[in-house]
Amino acid sequence: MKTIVKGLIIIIILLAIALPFASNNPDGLEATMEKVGLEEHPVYEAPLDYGETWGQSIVMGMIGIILVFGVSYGLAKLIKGA
Amino acid sequence: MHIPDGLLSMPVIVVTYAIMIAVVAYSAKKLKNLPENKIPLLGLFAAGIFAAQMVNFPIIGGVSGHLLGATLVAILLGPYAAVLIMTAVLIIQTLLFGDGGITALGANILNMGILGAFLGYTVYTKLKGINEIVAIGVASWLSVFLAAVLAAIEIGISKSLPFGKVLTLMASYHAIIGIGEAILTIIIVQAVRAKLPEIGGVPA
Repeated sequence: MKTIVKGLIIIIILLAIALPFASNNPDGLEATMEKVGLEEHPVYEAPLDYGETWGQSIVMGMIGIILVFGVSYGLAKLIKGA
Repeated sequence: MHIPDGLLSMPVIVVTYAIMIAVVAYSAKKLKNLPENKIPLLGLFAAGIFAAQMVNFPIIGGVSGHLLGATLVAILLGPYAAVLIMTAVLIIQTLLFGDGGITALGANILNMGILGAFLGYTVYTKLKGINEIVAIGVASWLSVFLAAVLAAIEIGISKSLPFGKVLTLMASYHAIIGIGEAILTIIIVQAVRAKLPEIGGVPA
């Protein structure tokens, strides 16, 4: 348990340090889509986003980090148990 | 490189979902012998990949990229653990954060998870006898480059558009983004090995 908490805190600290340097430019696929005129047509509205400010992004990041940890941990347990 | 909704045709959606489900199920079966004490590590790697994917790094021409991480995890924990981790990351990104379309989830797990896990791991294993750093770098670069090529093919099959242009753009951008992937993968793999010398592998 101690290792898990320590690991999660290290990940969140690294994210907090790296976030101000993150680029908001379109990624390789988005840039390609723009150039060839491809548009997305969402069929599903996700409830969360990554936030606009550093503070919002950290909070959303923490939510995501904990959820991803929980889902992968749960999946691994399920596989072991099944 | 998360493909959104609206870019893939029904046949491509069905085929990519079918391949994804088959490979994830196969990987899950292979992970049955996963030591109990490795499970928290699996969760931490998944959390780390999610966090890393939040931070885009700029490349040329006002374009950015982010770490994929499938090859990174495969090198440290084996390809089956990498598939499980990338699947968990992509499910949360898609369902909760709107990163990538729900119809493209099969393709995205295939491109960004499965391809990098198995192909990256194979390339790394073949090259590590020559040089560890070169093996990590080449494997992780290839995982990004080929993921982009595969994504271009999936989109190209789905839509009537100038396929050559899509392929050229995707391949060129990701040839550069792949360099970022290679640098980050080399640094992170070495750092994790230095901190966790006993990490070993997961049944591979």
